[in-house]
Amino acid sequence: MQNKFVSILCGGLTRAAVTCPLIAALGLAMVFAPTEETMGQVQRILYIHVASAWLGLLGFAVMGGCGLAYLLRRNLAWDHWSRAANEIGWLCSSLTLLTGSLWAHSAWGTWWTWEPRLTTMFVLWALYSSCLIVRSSMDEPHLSARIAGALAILGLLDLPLVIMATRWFRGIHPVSPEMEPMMQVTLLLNVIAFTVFFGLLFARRHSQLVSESLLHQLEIHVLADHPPVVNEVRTIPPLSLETF
Amino acid sequence: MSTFVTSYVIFWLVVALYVVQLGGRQRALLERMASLQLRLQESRRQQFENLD
Amino acid sequence: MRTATTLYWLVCKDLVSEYRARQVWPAMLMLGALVTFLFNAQLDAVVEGKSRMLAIQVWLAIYFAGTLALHRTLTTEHVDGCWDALRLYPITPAWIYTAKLTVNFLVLAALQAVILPLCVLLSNVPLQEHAWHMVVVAVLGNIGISSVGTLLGGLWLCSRQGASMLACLALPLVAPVILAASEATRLVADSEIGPQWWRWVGLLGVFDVVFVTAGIVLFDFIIED
Repeated sequence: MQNKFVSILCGGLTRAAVTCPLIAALGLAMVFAPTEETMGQVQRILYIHVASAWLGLLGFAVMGGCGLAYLLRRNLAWDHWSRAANEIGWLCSSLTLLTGSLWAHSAWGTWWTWEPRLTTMFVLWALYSSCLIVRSSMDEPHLSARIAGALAILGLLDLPLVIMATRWFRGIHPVSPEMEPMMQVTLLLNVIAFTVFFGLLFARRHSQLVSESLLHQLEIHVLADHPPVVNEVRTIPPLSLETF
Repeated sequence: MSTFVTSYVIFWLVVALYVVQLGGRQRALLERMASLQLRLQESRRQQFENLD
Repeated sequence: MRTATTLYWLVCKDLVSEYRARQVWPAMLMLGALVTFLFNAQLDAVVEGKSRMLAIQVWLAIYFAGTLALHRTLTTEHVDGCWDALRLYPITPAWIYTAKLTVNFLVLAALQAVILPLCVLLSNVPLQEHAWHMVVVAVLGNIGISSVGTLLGGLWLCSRQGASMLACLALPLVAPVILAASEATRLVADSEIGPQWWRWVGLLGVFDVVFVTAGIVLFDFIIED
């Protein structure tokens, strides 16, 4: 009874902790933050764009770190973290490219330009994608963990070089423009709220991956002990949720 | 609709898509768990029936 | 001393094996030459910025044709128990990586020795005027591509899935090499050997050091069993 109450309370608190800042951040970003003079409303894309770009980079660091930990320890628990970071990071970097492209279209009049940060983000996205492809193409968990881990570490080493290489072409991306205090507060709140929100998604995906792998082991175990009955007339029908 | 609203809508649409997909995986996971348990229970029942 | 001898035999073995079977080199050289040939047929019509386009073409041709050979150097080890024999050599995996890297370097160098003169012949872009600068760029770019290629070849070897994806996985990683090498090549073609050229060459050098080191360290973790 006590335990249940505590768990419900915790769940509610987590949800509130995620939802409230998110709503506040959205409200600030969409309505209350002052409108920028030259670009107008479009500048409001900044808040989600910067937040997701930050998460894309953070995700890569987490993925690389956990990949390294896996290679050193050979413990699949690290790979689950790395895998979850891979998916969330891929999502965030895709969103960055998407929002950035929309913003660039109305601010610069082009969907895409070969500008240092855009190119870097694109390479980051490609690295995320290649790790995802590796993971999805292999069934053996340790093998895919090993390969994806090594790829993630290589990607982490690669990123500074990509940044250097692309920075030496001239760019039009603003580095860190002057902002009004209200805009700064909005941006900060957005970054925090998004970090918490995607952190929750990350944790969810991670726990899902853990139970998936446990279930997989259990299934192998059970299949060995109780092979499916073939000779009997009454075999077990494949189950779907509709059966309940 | 202004570009800014469009991009917010697209952003959350993509996120929602991911969350829905996450939910789908969770459902598939539960399905697998349930069918595993059913198989265990079924095989035990059959063992007893064979004894009879 | 013993390590150096072992290294020598490992490299020799691969070269002899290729010389006898001629499995990769002809196809690789042919592909590189064909790509260069077809591209230059189009390039002929270009007036402005010819050197820029030629530079990126050279490096993409080297990369894609080279991939044929890069994955091959390690997959040949995987069949018929070659791998066990390879592990029998009295050296650590780091040295196996070094040996394979040397072979791949030689393969890519042969490829470059065909593609670069062919480009000069077909396009009239004067790469030969600063031949030594071009050689520096070629060697550094070569090491960059082959260090990543060898490492990923090692990864793919474990997965037994063939190298169909090697090219698309390695490309984001070698993006800085391709960018820097083609930019440096363009500067050579335009006779602009200055601080800017040195900067790109420096970037190539840093990439090479980082990835050869990473390869030596990671190879041990990657292969095992």
